[in-house]
Amino acid sequence: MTKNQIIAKAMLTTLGIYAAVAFAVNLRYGPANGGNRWALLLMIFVTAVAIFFVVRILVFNNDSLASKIVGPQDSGEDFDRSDYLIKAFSVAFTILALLFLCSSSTVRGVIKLLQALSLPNIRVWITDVIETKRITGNLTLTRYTGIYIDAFIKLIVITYLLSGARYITRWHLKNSCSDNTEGVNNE
Amino acid sequence: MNKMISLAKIMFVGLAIYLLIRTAGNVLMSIMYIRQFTLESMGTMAFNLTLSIAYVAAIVYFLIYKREKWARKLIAKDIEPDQALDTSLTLTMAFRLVSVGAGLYSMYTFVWSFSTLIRNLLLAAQSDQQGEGTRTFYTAAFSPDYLQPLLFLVLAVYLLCGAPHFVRWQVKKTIQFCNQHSDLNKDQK
Repeated sequence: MTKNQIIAKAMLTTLGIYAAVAFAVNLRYGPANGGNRWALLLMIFVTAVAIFFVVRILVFNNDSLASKIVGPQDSGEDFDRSDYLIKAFSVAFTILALLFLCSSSTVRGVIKLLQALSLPNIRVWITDVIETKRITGNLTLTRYTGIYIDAFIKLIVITYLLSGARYITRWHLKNSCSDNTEGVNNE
Repeated sequence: MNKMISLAKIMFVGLAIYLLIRTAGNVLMSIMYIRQFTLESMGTMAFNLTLSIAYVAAIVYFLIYKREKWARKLIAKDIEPDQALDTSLTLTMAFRLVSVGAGLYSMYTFVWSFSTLIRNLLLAAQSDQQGEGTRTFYTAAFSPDYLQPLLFLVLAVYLLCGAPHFVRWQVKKTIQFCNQHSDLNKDQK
Protein backbone atom coordinates (compact mmCIF):
# COMPACT_ATOMS: atom_id res chain seq x y z
CA MET A 1 0.00 0.00 0.00
CA THR A 2 1.41 3.38 -1.03
CA LYS A 3 1.33 6.67 0.91
CA ASN A 4 -1.33 8.11 -1.39
CA GLN A 5 -3.52 5.05 -0.93
CA ILE A 6 -3.29 5.51 2.84
CA ILE A 7 -4.24 9.20 2.47
CA ALA A 8 -7.20 8.17 0.27
CA LYS A 9 -8.26 5.61 2.89
CA ALA A 10 -8.11 8.22 5.67
CA MET A 11 -10.18 10.60 3.54
CA LEU A 12 -12.80 7.93 2.72
CA THR A 13 -13.07 6.85 6.37
CA THR A 14 -13.53 10.46 7.50
CA LEU A 15 -16.16 11.09 4.83
CA GLY A 16 -17.95 7.89 5.86
CA ILE A 17 -18.16 9.06 9.49
CA TYR A 18 -19.30 12.49 8.30
CA ALA A 19 -22.02 10.89 6.14
CA ALA A 20 -23.26 8.68 8.98
CA VAL A 21 -23.54 11.65 11.35
CA ALA A 22 -25.12 13.90 8.69
CA PHE A 23 -27.76 11.27 7.85
CA ALA A 24 -28.51 10.52 11.53
CA VAL A 25 -28.78 14.21 12.44
CA ASN A 26 -31.13 14.78 9.47
CA LEU A 27 -33.77 12.76 11.32
CA ARG A 28 -34.38 15.69 13.67
CA TYR A 29 -36.07 17.58 10.81
CA GLY A 30 -38.60 14.77 10.42
CA PRO A 31 -40.96 15.51 13.32
CA ALA A 32 -40.58 19.29 12.95
CA ASN A 33 -41.78 19.20 9.33
CA GLY A 34 -45.10 17.71 10.34
CA GLY A 35 -45.10 14.95 7.74
CA ASN A 36 -47.24 11.85 8.21
CA ARG A 37 -46.20 8.89 10.34
CA TRP A 38 -45.54 6.56 7.36
CA ALA A 39 -43.25 9.16 5.81
CA LEU A 40 -41.33 9.38 9.11
CA LEU A 41 -41.01 5.58 9.31
CA LEU A 42 -39.91 5.44 5.66
CA MET A 43 -37.35 8.15 6.35
CA ILE A 44 -35.97 6.28 9.40
CA PHE A 45 -35.75 3.03 7.39
CA VAL A 46 -34.05 4.63 4.36
CA THR A 47 -31.66 6.55 6.65
CA ALA A 48 -30.71 3.37 8.55
CA VAL A 49 -30.04 1.51 5.27
CA ALA A 50 -28.02 4.48 3.92
CA ILE A 51 -25.91 4.65 7.11
CA PHE A 52 -25.27 0.89 6.98
CA PHE A 53 -24.01 0.98 3.38
CA VAL A 54 -22.04 4.19 3.80
CA VAL A 55 -20.23 2.86 6.89
CA ARG A 56 -19.59 -0.49 5.20
CA ILE A 57 -18.28 0.97 1.94
CA LEU A 58 -16.51 4.14 3.10
CA VAL A 59 -15.34 3.33 6.64
CA PHE A 60 -14.51 -0.37 6.72
CA ASN A 61 -14.18 -1.84 3.20
CA ASN A 62 -12.53 1.09 1.47
CA ASP A 63 -9.32 -0.58 0.22
CA SER A 64 -10.49 -1.17 -3.35
CA LEU A 65 -12.09 2.28 -3.59
CA ALA A 66 -8.87 3.92 -2.36
CA SER A 67 -6.83 1.99 -4.94
CA LYS A 68 -9.24 3.05 -7.70
CA ILE A 69 -9.08 6.73 -6.68
CA VAL A 70 -5.29 6.84 -6.63
CA GLY A 71 -4.76 4.66 -9.70
CA PRO A 72 -1.66 2.58 -10.44
CA GLN A 73 1.21 3.58 -8.14
CA ASP A 74 4.79 2.56 -7.65
CA SER A 75 4.64 0.31 -4.57
CA GLY A 76 8.42 0.30 -4.04
CA GLU A 77 8.32 3.13 -1.48
CA ASP A 78 10.20 2.37 1.71
CA PHE A 79 8.28 3.64 4.75
CA ASP A 80 6.62 2.39 7.94
CA ARG A 81 3.06 1.73 6.79
CA SER A 82 1.45 1.44 10.22
CA ASP A 83 3.15 4.63 11.41
CA TYR A 84 2.01 6.53 8.35
CA LEU A 85 -1.54 5.16 8.61
CA ILE A 86 -1.88 6.23 12.26
CA LYS A 87 -0.65 9.74 11.45
CA ALA A 88 -2.82 10.15 8.34
CA PHE A 89 -5.93 8.93 10.18
CA SER A 90 -5.15 11.16 13.16
CA VAL A 91 -4.93 14.29 10.98
CA ALA A 92 -8.06 13.34 9.00
CA PHE A 93 -10.09 12.71 12.18
CA THR A 94 -8.95 16.03 13.67
CA ILE A 95 -10.14 17.84 10.52
CA LEU A 96 -13.59 16.26 10.87
CA ALA A 97 -13.80 16.90 14.64
CA LEU A 98 -12.94 20.59 14.18
CA LEU A 99 -15.37 20.84 11.27
CA PHE A 100 -18.15 19.59 13.56
CA LEU A 101 -16.98 21.71 16.49
CA CYS A 102 -16.86 24.94 14.47
CA SER A 103 -20.29 24.52 12.85
CA SER A 104 -22.93 26.89 14.16
CA SER A 105 -25.52 24.14 14.75
CA THR A 106 -23.17 22.30 17.17
CA VAL A 107 -22.27 25.39 19.22
CA ARG A 108 -25.92 26.55 19.31
CA GLY A 109 -27.03 23.04 20.29
CA VAL A 110 -24.41 22.75 23.06
CA ILE A 111 -25.42 26.15 24.49
CA LYS A 112 -29.08 25.13 24.44
CA LEU A 113 -28.23 21.72 25.92
CA LEU A 114 -26.30 23.33 28.81
CA GLN A 115 -29.14 25.81 29.35
CA ALA A 116 -31.66 22.98 29.31
CA LEU A 117 -29.77 21.07 31.99
CA SER A 118 -30.59 23.71 34.60
CA LEU A 119 -33.55 22.67 36.78
CA PRO A 120 -36.15 25.32 35.79
CA ASN A 121 -35.45 24.64 32.11
CA ILE A 122 -35.92 20.88 32.53
CA ARG A 123 -39.43 21.70 33.79
CA VAL A 124 -40.04 23.92 30.71
CA TRP A 125 -38.77 21.17 28.42
CA ILE A 126 -41.03 18.51 30.00
CA THR A 127 -43.98 20.91 29.74
CA ASP A 128 -43.08 21.44 26.09
CA VAL A 129 -43.13 17.67 25.42
CA ILE A 130 -46.46 17.25 27.25
CA GLU A 131 -48.00 20.24 25.41
CA THR A 132 -46.86 18.84 22.06
CA LYS A 133 -48.45 15.51 22.95
CA ARG A 134 -51.70 17.26 23.92
CA ILE A 135 -51.84 19.29 20.69
CA THR A 136 -50.67 16.69 18.16
CA GLY A 137 -51.90 13.59 20.00
CA ASN A 138 -48.48 11.95 19.56
CA LEU A 139 -45.36 11.91 21.66
CA THR A 140 -43.39 13.55 18.84
CA LEU A 141 -40.09 15.29 19.26
CA THR A 142 -40.30 19.02 19.79
CA ARG A 143 -38.06 21.48 17.94
CA TYR A 144 -35.72 21.83 20.91
CA THR A 145 -35.48 18.07 21.48
CA GLY A 146 -34.15 17.78 17.92
CA ILE A 147 -31.50 20.41 18.66
CA TYR A 148 -30.46 18.58 21.87
CA ILE A 149 -30.20 15.25 20.00
CA ASP A 150 -28.11 16.90 17.26
CA ALA A 151 -25.74 18.44 19.83
CA PHE A 152 -25.51 15.22 21.84
CA ILE A 153 -24.65 13.04 18.80
CA LYS A 154 -22.06 15.55 17.59
CA LEU A 155 -20.46 15.92 21.03
CA ILE A 156 -19.99 12.14 21.29
CA VAL A 157 -18.53 11.95 17.77
CA ILE A 158 -16.21 14.95 18.39
CA THR A 159 -14.89 13.40 21.62
CA TYR A 160 -14.34 10.04 19.92
CA LEU A 161 -12.56 11.59 16.93
CA LEU A 162 -10.34 13.87 19.02
CA SER A 163 -9.32 10.94 21.18
CA GLY A 164 -7.97 9.32 17.99
CA ALA A 165 -10.88 6.99 17.07
CA ARG A 166 -8.76 4.08 18.29
CA TYR A 167 -11.17 1.29 17.32
CA ILE A 168 -11.40 2.34 13.66
CA THR A 169 -7.65 3.03 13.40
CA ARG A 170 -6.78 -0.34 14.99
CA TRP A 171 -9.21 -2.10 12.66
CA HIS A 172 -7.50 -0.53 9.65
CA LEU A 173 -4.05 -1.26 11.07
CA LYS A 174 -5.00 -4.89 11.50
CA ASN A 175 -6.60 -5.25 8.07
CA SER A 176 -4.61 -2.94 5.83
CA CYS A 177 -1.06 -3.17 7.11
CA SER A 178 -0.87 -6.94 7.48
CA ASP A 179 1.25 -8.79 4.93
CA ASN A 180 -1.75 -10.69 3.54
CA THR A 181 -3.53 -7.65 2.16
CA GLU A 182 -0.51 -5.93 0.64
CA GLY A 183 -0.51 -8.22 -2.33
CA VAL A 184 -4.14 -7.50 -3.04
CA ASN A 185 -3.67 -3.74 -2.75
CA ASN A 186 -0.67 -3.61 -5.00
CA GLU A 187 -2.46 -5.28 -7.90
CA MET B 1 2.79 9.52 -11.89
CA ASN B 2 3.51 12.77 -10.07
CA LYS B 3 2.61 12.49 -6.37
CA MET B 4 1.06 15.95 -6.27
CA ILE B 5 -1.28 15.11 -9.17
CA SER B 6 -2.27 11.96 -7.31
CA LEU B 7 -3.01 14.02 -4.17
CA ALA B 8 -5.06 16.49 -6.23
CA LYS B 9 -7.05 13.56 -7.65
CA ILE B 10 -7.74 12.31 -4.10
CA MET B 11 -8.89 15.83 -3.17
CA PHE B 12 -11.30 16.01 -6.13
CA VAL B 13 -12.84 12.64 -5.34
CA GLY B 14 -13.13 13.69 -1.67
CA LEU B 15 -14.94 16.85 -2.68
CA ALA B 16 -17.24 14.84 -4.97
CA ILE B 17 -18.10 12.36 -2.18
CA TYR B 18 -18.74 15.26 0.23
CA LEU B 19 -21.15 16.89 -2.26
CA LEU B 20 -22.84 13.52 -2.92
CA ILE B 21 -23.36 13.02 0.84
CA ARG B 22 -24.93 16.50 1.11
CA THR B 23 -27.24 15.72 -1.83
CA ALA B 24 -28.19 12.32 -0.40
CA GLY B 25 -29.05 14.02 2.92
CA ASN B 26 -31.38 16.42 1.11
CA VAL B 27 -33.05 13.56 -0.77
CA LEU B 28 -33.61 11.71 2.53
CA MET B 29 -35.07 14.85 4.07
CA SER B 30 -37.39 15.39 1.09
CA ILE B 31 -39.23 12.17 2.07
CA MET B 32 -40.68 14.14 4.99
CA TYR B 33 -42.38 16.54 2.59
CA ILE B 34 -44.80 13.78 1.64
CA ARG B 35 -47.81 15.05 3.56
CA GLN B 36 -50.18 12.57 1.94
CA PHE B 37 -49.69 10.05 -0.83
CA THR B 38 -51.35 12.30 -3.42
CA LEU B 39 -50.37 13.00 -7.05
CA GLU B 40 -49.24 16.55 -6.16
CA SER B 41 -47.08 15.39 -3.26
CA MET B 42 -45.52 12.56 -5.25
CA GLY B 43 -44.98 14.91 -8.21
CA THR B 44 -42.98 17.29 -6.01
CA MET B 45 -40.96 14.36 -4.77
CA ALA B 46 -40.30 13.15 -8.35
CA PHE B 47 -39.23 16.66 -9.43
CA ASN B 48 -36.87 16.87 -6.44
CA LEU B 49 -35.42 13.46 -7.29
CA THR B 50 -34.91 14.41 -10.98
CA LEU B 51 -33.03 17.57 -10.01
CA SER B 52 -30.91 15.63 -7.51
CA ILE B 53 -30.06 12.95 -10.11
CA ALA B 54 -28.98 15.66 -12.61
CA TYR B 55 -26.79 17.27 -9.92
CA VAL B 56 -25.27 13.90 -8.99
CA ALA B 57 -24.54 13.15 -12.66
CA ALA B 58 -22.78 16.53 -13.05
CA ILE B 59 -20.65 15.88 -9.93
CA VAL B 60 -19.72 12.37 -11.05
CA TYR B 61 -18.81 13.58 -14.57
CA PHE B 62 -16.77 16.66 -13.64
CA LEU B 63 -15.18 15.68 -10.34
CA ILE B 64 -14.75 11.90 -10.64
CA TYR B 65 -14.66 11.01 -14.35
CA LYS B 66 -12.63 14.12 -15.38
CA ARG B 67 -10.53 14.28 -12.19
CA GLU B 68 -7.24 13.60 -13.95
CA LYS B 69 -7.75 16.55 -16.32
CA TRP B 70 -8.59 18.96 -13.46
CA ALA B 71 -5.69 17.66 -11.35
CA ARG B 72 -3.22 18.26 -14.20
CA LYS B 73 -4.58 21.81 -14.62
CA LEU B 74 -4.30 22.45 -10.88
CA ILE B 75 -0.73 21.13 -10.58
CA ALA B 76 0.91 22.92 -13.48
CA LYS B 77 4.55 22.14 -12.69
CA ASP B 78 6.12 18.84 -11.85
CA ILE B 79 6.47 19.50 -8.12
CA GLU B 80 7.58 16.74 -5.79
CA PRO B 81 7.02 17.08 -2.02
CA ASP B 82 10.15 17.60 0.06
CA GLN B 83 11.31 14.19 1.30
CA ALA B 84 13.88 15.56 3.74
CA LEU B 85 11.34 16.80 6.31
CA ASP B 86 11.27 15.13 9.70
CA THR B 87 8.05 13.14 10.22
CA SER B 88 7.17 14.64 13.63
CA LEU B 89 7.73 18.11 12.17
CA THR B 90 5.44 17.24 9.25
CA LEU B 91 2.82 16.00 11.71
CA THR B 92 3.03 19.22 13.75
CA MET B 93 2.76 21.28 10.58
CA ALA B 94 -0.25 19.26 9.42
CA PHE B 95 -2.06 19.79 12.75
CA ARG B 96 -1.22 23.50 12.73
CA LEU B 97 -2.52 23.81 9.18
CA VAL B 98 -5.73 22.04 10.20
CA SER B 99 -6.09 24.40 13.21
CA VAL B 100 -5.64 27.51 11.08
CA GLY B 101 -8.16 26.17 8.54
CA ALA B 102 -10.67 25.50 11.33
CA GLY B 103 -9.93 28.98 12.71
CA LEU B 104 -10.85 30.57 9.39
CA TYR B 105 -14.07 28.56 9.33
CA SER B 106 -14.85 29.67 12.93
CA MET B 107 -14.19 33.29 11.98
CA TYR B 108 -16.66 32.96 9.09
CA THR B 109 -19.25 31.50 11.51
CA PHE B 110 -18.52 34.27 14.02
CA VAL B 111 -19.17 36.98 11.38
CA TRP B 112 -22.41 35.25 10.40
CA SER B 113 -23.70 34.82 13.99
CA PHE B 114 -22.61 38.35 14.99
CA SER B 115 -24.39 39.96 12.02
CA THR B 116 -27.51 37.89 12.82
CA LEU B 117 -27.39 39.12 16.44
CA ILE B 118 -27.08 42.77 15.33
CA ARG B 119 -29.99 42.34 12.88
CA ASN B 120 -32.18 40.80 15.60
CA LEU B 121 -31.29 43.55 18.09
CA LEU B 122 -32.16 46.23 15.50
CA LEU B 123 -35.46 44.51 14.68
CA ALA B 124 -36.28 44.25 18.41
CA ALA B 125 -35.52 47.95 18.96
CA GLN B 126 -37.59 48.89 15.90
CA SER B 127 -40.68 46.96 17.02
CA ASP B 128 -40.31 48.40 20.58
CA GLN B 129 -40.58 51.92 19.15
CA GLN B 130 -43.80 51.06 17.29
CA GLY B 131 -45.76 50.75 20.56
CA GLU B 132 -47.61 48.07 22.48
CA GLY B 133 -50.12 47.20 19.76
CA THR B 134 -47.51 46.09 17.19
CA ARG B 135 -45.33 43.91 19.36
CA THR B 136 -43.80 41.05 17.40
CA PHE B 137 -41.87 37.88 18.07
CA TYR B 138 -38.72 39.91 18.55
CA THR B 139 -40.04 41.82 21.56
CA ALA B 140 -42.17 39.09 23.08
CA ALA B 141 -39.88 36.07 22.81
CA PHE B 142 -36.53 37.31 21.56
CA SER B 143 -33.68 37.06 24.03
CA PRO B 144 -30.35 38.10 22.49
CA ASP B 145 -27.83 35.26 22.34
CA TYR B 146 -24.48 36.90 23.08
CA LEU B 147 -22.80 33.65 24.06
CA GLN B 148 -22.70 32.07 20.60
CA PRO B 149 -20.73 34.83 18.76
CA LEU B 150 -18.45 35.17 21.79
CA LEU B 151 -17.65 31.43 21.79
CA PHE B 152 -16.94 31.52 18.05
CA LEU B 153 -14.65 34.53 18.45
CA VAL B 154 -12.65 32.84 21.23
CA LEU B 155 -12.45 29.60 19.22
CA ALA B 156 -11.44 31.45 16.04
CA VAL B 157 -8.68 33.48 17.74
CA TYR B 158 -7.27 30.39 19.50
CA LEU B 159 -7.30 28.27 16.34
CA LEU B 160 -5.91 31.04 14.12
CA CYS B 161 -3.00 31.40 16.57
CA GLY B 162 -2.16 27.78 15.73
CA ALA B 163 -3.79 26.25 18.86
CA PRO B 164 -0.37 25.42 20.44
CA HIS B 165 -1.69 23.31 23.37
CA PHE B 166 -4.10 21.40 21.18
CA VAL B 167 -1.45 20.71 18.51
CA ARG B 168 1.12 19.62 21.12
CA TRP B 169 -1.43 17.29 22.75
CA GLN B 170 -2.47 15.77 19.40
CA VAL B 171 1.14 15.21 18.24
CA LYS B 172 2.09 13.66 21.59
CA LYS B 173 -0.96 11.38 21.53
CA THR B 174 -0.39 10.28 17.92
CA ILE B 175 3.32 9.51 18.49
CA GLN B 176 2.41 7.57 21.67
CA PHE B 177 -0.09 5.52 19.66
CA CYS B 178 2.57 4.84 16.98
CA ASN B 179 5.07 3.73 19.65
CA GLN B 180 2.49 1.54 21.39
CA HIS B 181 1.68 -0.16 18.09
CA SER B 182 5.34 -0.75 17.18
CA ASP B 183 6.04 -2.14 20.69
CA LEU B 184 3.07 -4.47 20.34
CA ASN B 185 4.35 -5.65 16.95
CA LYS B 186 7.82 -6.31 18.39
CA ASP B 187 6.30 -8.31 21.26
CA GLN B 188 4.26 -10.41 18.84
CA LYS B 189 7.35 -11.13 16.73
